[in-house]
Amino acid sequence: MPEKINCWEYRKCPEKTCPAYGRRDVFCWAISGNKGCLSGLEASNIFKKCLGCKVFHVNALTNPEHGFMGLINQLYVELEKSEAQHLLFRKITSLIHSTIELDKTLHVILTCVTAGYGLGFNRALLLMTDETGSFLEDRMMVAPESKEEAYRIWQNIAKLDVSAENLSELVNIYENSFKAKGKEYKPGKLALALNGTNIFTQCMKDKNALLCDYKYKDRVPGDFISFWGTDYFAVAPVLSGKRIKGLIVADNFFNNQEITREHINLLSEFAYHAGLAIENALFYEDLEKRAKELEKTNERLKEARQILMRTEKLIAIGEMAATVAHEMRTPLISIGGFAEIVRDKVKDNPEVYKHMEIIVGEVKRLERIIQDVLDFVKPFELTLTDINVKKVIESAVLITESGRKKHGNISIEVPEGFTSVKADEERLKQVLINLLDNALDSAKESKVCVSAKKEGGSFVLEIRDDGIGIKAEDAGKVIQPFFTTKKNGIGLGLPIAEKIVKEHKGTLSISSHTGGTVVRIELPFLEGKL
Amino acid sequence: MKTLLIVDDEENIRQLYKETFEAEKYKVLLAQTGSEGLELAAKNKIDLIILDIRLPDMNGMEVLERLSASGKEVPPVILNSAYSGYEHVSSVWLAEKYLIKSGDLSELKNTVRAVIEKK
Repeated sequence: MPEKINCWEYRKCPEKTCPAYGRRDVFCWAISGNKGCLSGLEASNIFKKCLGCKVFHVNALTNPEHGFMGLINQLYVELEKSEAQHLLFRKITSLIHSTIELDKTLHVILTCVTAGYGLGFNRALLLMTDETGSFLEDRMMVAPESKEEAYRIWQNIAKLDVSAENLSELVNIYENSFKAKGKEYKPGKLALALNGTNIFTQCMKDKNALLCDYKYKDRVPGDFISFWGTDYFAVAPVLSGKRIKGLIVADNFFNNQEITREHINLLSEFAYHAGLAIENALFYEDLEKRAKELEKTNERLKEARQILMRTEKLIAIGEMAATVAHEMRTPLISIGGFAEIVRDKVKDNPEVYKHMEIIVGEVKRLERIIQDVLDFVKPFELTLTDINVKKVIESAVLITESGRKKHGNISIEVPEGFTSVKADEERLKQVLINLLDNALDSAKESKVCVSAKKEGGSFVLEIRDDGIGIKAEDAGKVIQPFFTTKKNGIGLGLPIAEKIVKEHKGTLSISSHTGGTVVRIELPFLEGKL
Repeated sequence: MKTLLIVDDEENIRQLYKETFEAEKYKVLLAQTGSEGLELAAKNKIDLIILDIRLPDMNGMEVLERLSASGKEVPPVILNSAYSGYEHVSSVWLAEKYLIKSGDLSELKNTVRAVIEKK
């Protein structure tokens, strides 16, 4: 009698409702011992039918090897295996719910797909859809390099009593053995278009696991075959909620074992868990993102509060400075005024005259400082009018030069036809005076050039000098209030200029090198009607 | 000889302006408060008023408004203040010029001269 024999063929059984009917992978329990061809539920259903079979009855009582005890043993093994699988599933489920690291969870799932009591596939591959949903991309793979490696790993695993209790140990063996292809797997080797009738598209459309065998031969994309090496595999959809996130592909590439319906069902179960893991991970990712956003908002709020506190402090200081400056101004006017009167009366006494000149000069300096402080601390509103750019520049040049011994060092460049913009004339003049003052101080004898032009949507003013430039270590400080390199300055010229430019919603930038300095002011261009 | 009226609550400033403008050959009248200034303006023929803004009884703008409301011909007024910031108050435009007080009197002197010559 042949070792493997199909009961329905052997007995010419007409019982078409029997789950074993017409199948070539199911062998007669009584004659061949039904060696390992079935497992779990399927086996128990077929076994129910066997109980009504005469051959089974006779053989079960007489054949010691394949008989009743053999059957009981086999069922016991099946039961144990089911129990182990059941436990494994529970373990995986709890793992999925306890870990938020997507890659780790996916790796565990793929590992279980290939573990002995898990599914016992040789290889497993996770494909995920890209953002547009039109491509499948490889995300992770668990597989031995070769038959030899597979054999070695399986031996390791065979030594281990694989059950839910030592799942983590199992995962460790897998992680260590499959490092190159598992957790450390570098995705991006595949991009399968999801179109037409290819098998992956169909699996995703049906939302059902399926076995890709000779029936689907023509529907496996060529790219995939050259990557995977075979067209015989099981594929199951990974669902997250109602949406399909990807597919798990698994096969027995190394031992060529047949993939049964039960394997497919189990793979489908694993894929479902993978979907849950992805959903979980996405949820946590989202949560983490929101938490980070919240943290950032909080950080910004804190900053804003600090700025507010600083601003309030500055306003208080400003008000105090303004009060002090005003109170000082009136006595200074008397001092300065009378000093001038006295000075003019002592013209014939050069020594006293010189002293009086010093008093008059110093009072002027103090008055200028007070004016600067007031300009800097006082909030102001712009009065925008149509101004003649050239005239404003000329007037600023005149005022700047009036206090100096040498005139004619400043050249003005305003293109023909560029006449009028809207701006605050007095403030703009002040900006120019402050900047020209700096430029002349720096330039010494060389030329200073002030130019105005329209550049795109901007009104650009530039003050260039060929002077000594700003020292590198001072570059960041020149715009700070009260920073000065001048003997007689208090360091408010540039900050005031910047404040006025900012009020105009413009920018002031300084570029400096050893050959000179360029200060560039860009204001939004508002055409004037002059 | 042209007559200037100086309205300022600061004793030293009044003295300073008096000496300065007398040296410039003007006749100078002094007032310490707004109402004193208005009184002097009503009784005398004044060619120009140098008016402080912060005064003990009223501010310079009010003095300006009352002068205009008096019906008499109003002499030109130079507002002269230690404070900037009033430039945009509407009644400031009743004045010829708005100056910020300074120990350097040349601007004030030049303005007085120009306004009187224009008149």
